Amino acid sequence: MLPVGIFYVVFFAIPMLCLLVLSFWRAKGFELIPDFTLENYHKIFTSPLYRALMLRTIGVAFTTALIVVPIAFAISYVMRFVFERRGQLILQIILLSLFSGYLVRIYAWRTILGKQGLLNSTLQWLGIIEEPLEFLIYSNIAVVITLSGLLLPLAVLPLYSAMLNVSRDYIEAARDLGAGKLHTLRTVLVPMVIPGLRTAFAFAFLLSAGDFVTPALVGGSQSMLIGNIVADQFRGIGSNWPLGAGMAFVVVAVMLLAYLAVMRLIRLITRW
Amino acid sequence: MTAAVEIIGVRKLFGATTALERVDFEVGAGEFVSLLGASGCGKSTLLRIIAGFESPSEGRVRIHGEDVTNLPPERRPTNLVFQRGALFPHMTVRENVGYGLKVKGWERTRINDRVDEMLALVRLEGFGDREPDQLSGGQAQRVALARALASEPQVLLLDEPLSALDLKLRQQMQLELRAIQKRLGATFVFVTHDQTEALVMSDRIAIMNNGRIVQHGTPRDIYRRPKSVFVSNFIGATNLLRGTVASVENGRTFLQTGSGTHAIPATGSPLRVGQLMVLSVRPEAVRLQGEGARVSGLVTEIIYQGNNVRVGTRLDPDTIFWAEGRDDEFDGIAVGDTVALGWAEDAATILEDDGT
Amino acid sequence: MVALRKILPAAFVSLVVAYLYAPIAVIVIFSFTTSPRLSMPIEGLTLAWYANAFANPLISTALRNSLILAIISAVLSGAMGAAFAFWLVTLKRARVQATLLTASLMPAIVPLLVIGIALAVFFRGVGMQQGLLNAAIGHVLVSLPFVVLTMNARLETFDFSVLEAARDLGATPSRAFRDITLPLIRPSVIGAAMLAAALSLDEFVVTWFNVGNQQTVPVLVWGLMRRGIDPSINAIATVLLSVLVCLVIASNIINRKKVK
Repeated sequence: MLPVGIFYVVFFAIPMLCLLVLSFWRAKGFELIPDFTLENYHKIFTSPLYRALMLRTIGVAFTTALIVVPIAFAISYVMRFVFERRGQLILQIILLSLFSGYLVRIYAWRTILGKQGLLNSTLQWLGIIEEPLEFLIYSNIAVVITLSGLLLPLAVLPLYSAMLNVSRDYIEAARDLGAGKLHTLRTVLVPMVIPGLRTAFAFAFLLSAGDFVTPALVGGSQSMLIGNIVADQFRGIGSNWPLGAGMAFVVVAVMLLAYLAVMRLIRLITRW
Repeated sequence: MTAAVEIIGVRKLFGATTALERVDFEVGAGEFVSLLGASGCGKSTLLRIIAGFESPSEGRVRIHGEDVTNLPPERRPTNLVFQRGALFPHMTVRENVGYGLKVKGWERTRINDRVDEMLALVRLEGFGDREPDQLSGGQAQRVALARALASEPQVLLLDEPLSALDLKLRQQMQLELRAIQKRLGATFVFVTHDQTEALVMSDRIAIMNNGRIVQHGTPRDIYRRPKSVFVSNFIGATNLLRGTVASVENGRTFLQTGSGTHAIPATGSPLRVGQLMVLSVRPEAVRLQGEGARVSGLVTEIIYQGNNVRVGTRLDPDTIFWAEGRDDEFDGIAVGDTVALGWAEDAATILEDDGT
Repeated sequence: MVALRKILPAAFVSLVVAYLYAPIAVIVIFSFTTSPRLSMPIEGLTLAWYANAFANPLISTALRNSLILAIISAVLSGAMGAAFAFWLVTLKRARVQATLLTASLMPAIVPLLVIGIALAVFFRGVGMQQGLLNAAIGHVLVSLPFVVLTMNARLETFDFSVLEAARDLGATPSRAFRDITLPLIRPSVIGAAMLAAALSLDEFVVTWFNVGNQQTVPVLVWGLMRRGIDPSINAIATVLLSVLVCLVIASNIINRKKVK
């Protein structure tokens, strides 16, 4: 207990605190000047660039979640209620893809979606298109496709475990009482797996909002996300750590608020 | 009889809840004692205090005169048979049974001899090289018993060791356990929630409720002479008639109830006239009776149980009185008949009304 | 009829699995093809990219560093996480248990980017030069939650009465730990440690902010990727992914052996 507690405090809680404190400092060149200024936050909230990036990030994260969660729900359903015991094996296969290299998978999508990449060259070779489809790469679409692939396994995990706890009997009882398939789904299954849905959405939404590698590799200059700017403040030319720290907190806060708003919405929807 | 286990004023608190309230109890050497009660009555806590897994908030525990209250479990002359065996899954049956001896530093040949002896005792010769997950439930519990007995504990503690077994096996194991205990002349403290099990196996039963021992005695004593409504309800089925004491004369108490005044042999402390008391009589003591009947009513239920028949008779709107007897005793009785019922006067017991 | 009912679901599952594995398949296939461009049709097969990749002077340093980090993560995360999880399940109060478990999972919920920069700020504050040690601490931090989670899942089925049985039979607490606890939980601990190693080998984000000028395999791969298309990336990636997959499958198999 003690070692883990100390480790978490020293290398997790205190660094977070440092980051928060730093967001009120100033940077002069590469030097950090202790201060208590709201300058960084002022800059973040008044800059149209940051606002645009923030909105785009929410948009991309939300789209990703909207793609990932329904697919994860459907495949969990199929695994649980159609394939039953073999569902475990399918789960293992899906989860294994998480361990095939994070950078590698993103890079692979670049080679697939690129202008002279696998998809375009195959389509051209087959004679379906003449000119490569340029929107496939360096675009929001590329970012969403890649992020969805990265995060889908993480969304399947909580949904499948939630459905494991739903006995087949409930579904059959509802059908037996005359509920239609869709009605059963909406009134019986969905309410029972709400916690799983919530976790799945959180993974898909929050983690895609925090990713900067995907936009850096498959997104163009037009599909940079807020994470790229934050990362640049720490490792780019003309970096500004205090500003980056402030942005990191704003991102986390905004994403949490957006997440809570969506959860609220889901609760309202499932009410009726 | 010398005391093998002495529990002296033991209390146990878990946070704000009291698991045991000042229990005083003794187990004689060579005695088979059952602690009987519903779940949450404190019986397992008491057993774990004797074993050393819980320490009492107050009071002392002595084993053969030695105060063990502050000793850890490994230094107590007791061994415990766990509810689900708790066999070490990574050891063979032989290694399991010999573990305690190995810890004590016995030589290997001596351990082997002892293990063989123990496996023979529980009739599992030839099972020594099995893994625990290759055993049936009954076999696993026998290994657990052999393991606990191997180091010849002064007191063997058993925590509902048969509760996970099915009825047939349980009944067979009850007899076996009893036979082993008699053969070894060992002291057994057996925790159970099953009254039949306690009646079949024990020299003495201690009935627990709400962290107290409410009555102890031989099975026969407890069945025949329950001291409270709780005990009479807990051990077997009984008929209860509430009433007030009308008079006490010549060693007989007359209790006035809703269904008439009944005479009961007086026992224990003298009763005052007007005191609220309860009459208890076992269904099998109740007979159909023409003359000298004590109560009568309308038959509402007849339950056929094979060897026996139970007949429920409504005495008044709130009281169903049960009689139990051989099938042919109740020939010709049907639901809706009016019947008269009686019992031998000394089959009835008078109890204090404890509200249960 | 039964088979027919399952055709549609099976097609759906295959589609999803294909979506997840297509990128990986592409990387593996194109690490063996002659054309430097990743395009169809495939012209010929070669091992040249592997030779090319391992001719890179940085690769051996990167490999060595990644291995060091993986071993540190496996040992430290494995030991600390296992001890913590074990202590957690012995707690009597369910609510305290649940709260501590959730708290211990925090580093998995905060975006890696934020953890990475927070650690960078902290290390700069205490005057620790960026380097391998900083990265190692980051790796332990991000792998701990996963070790705790898997250990916790395994330990939920652990029967603590066997420890009491050992004590009852005369074993002191340390003897009971040696004879009973350790042999029983060893497979789970090893499995969790291997998971930590896999996470460490693949870790990029936290490493990137803290490792300074040092190389690890993902940092090296990142550098190559930013420079454009280089088929030796496919070769390195294929090697990395084979190691990861082996580690995870082995970890799973070890873990599957019941904590009896």
